[in-house]
Amino acid sequence: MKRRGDKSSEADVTPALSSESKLLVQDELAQLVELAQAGDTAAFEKLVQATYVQTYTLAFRLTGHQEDARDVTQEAYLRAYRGLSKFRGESQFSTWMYRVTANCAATQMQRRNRHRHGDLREGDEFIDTATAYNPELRAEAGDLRSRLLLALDTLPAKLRAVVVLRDVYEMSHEDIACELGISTTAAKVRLHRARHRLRSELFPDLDQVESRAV
Amino acid sequence: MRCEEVAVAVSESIEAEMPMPKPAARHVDRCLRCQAEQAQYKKVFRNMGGLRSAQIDPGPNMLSDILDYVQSQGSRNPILMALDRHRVVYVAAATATAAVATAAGAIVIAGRVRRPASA
Repeated sequence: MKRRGDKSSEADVTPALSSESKLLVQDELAQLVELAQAGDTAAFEKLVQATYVQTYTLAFRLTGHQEDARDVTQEAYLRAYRGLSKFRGESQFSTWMYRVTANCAATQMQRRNRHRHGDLREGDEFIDTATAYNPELRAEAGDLRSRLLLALDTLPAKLRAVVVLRDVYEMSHEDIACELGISTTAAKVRLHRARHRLRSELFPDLDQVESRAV
Repeated sequence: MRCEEVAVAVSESIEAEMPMPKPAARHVDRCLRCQAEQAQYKKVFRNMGGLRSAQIDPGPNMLSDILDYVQSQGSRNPILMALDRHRVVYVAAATATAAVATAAGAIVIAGRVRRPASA
């Protein structure tokens, strides 16, 4: 498993657009969607060009693996191309792409789990010990965000997907459940487990304090 | 209430639209451990939100790879693709059906040849 903190990927981050630019971009995207829905392939190419970095970023955060993220991104755009006529414009195109990408990532992770870990169960973990407990990497990861990225990498894929979609991309519990093929209750349970494990990983001292009745 | 009983409520309370149930809120008000836990959850939550503004460079060729993939796969009819995936099964089934039909035909013809012609 390649590590989340790989310098070739995580280090090369670009800042987000300002809210004004975002509005402008959203208007342009909406126009491109309409043209693409009418069969304009050049418009679809522009749509891809405008959004593929965002889509890849989400795919990478969900899979924690560069190759998987590339595969998921390609598959997501293929599905988008085929399903564009079903996109009603009720949400933004980028939000719709998040859902498509989440669904593709879930499929990819299931495929990968079957291939590599055929008999894993719900509670089993995918811990990249080389990344999570490498003292050199830990020393580099001074700030909370860097430590958070490392902690995310230690989460089982199922937990990571839910917490990324909810806490980073603000998807609703219902949408997460729908795209990952699980119940809303299961999505909420996984979210709590993921948050608990991230917090414990980042602030392990509190776990030493005994629980009390008040 | 004990700390572990309010753990889920504390984790959910970091989202603005999820108010904490009153018994859990009363516990947290009086429990320094849970207050610390809540503060830590909020820090994690803020930093998670911050990840959205950082994009990861997919490296060279990603855009052209996507467009090539969509161009090569997108023009194919999904129904035909599904049929493609099951081609082996269809060919095997068709071959078996043809073999059974041939055998049945041979038996019928053989039966007619052996039957003595009635006067």
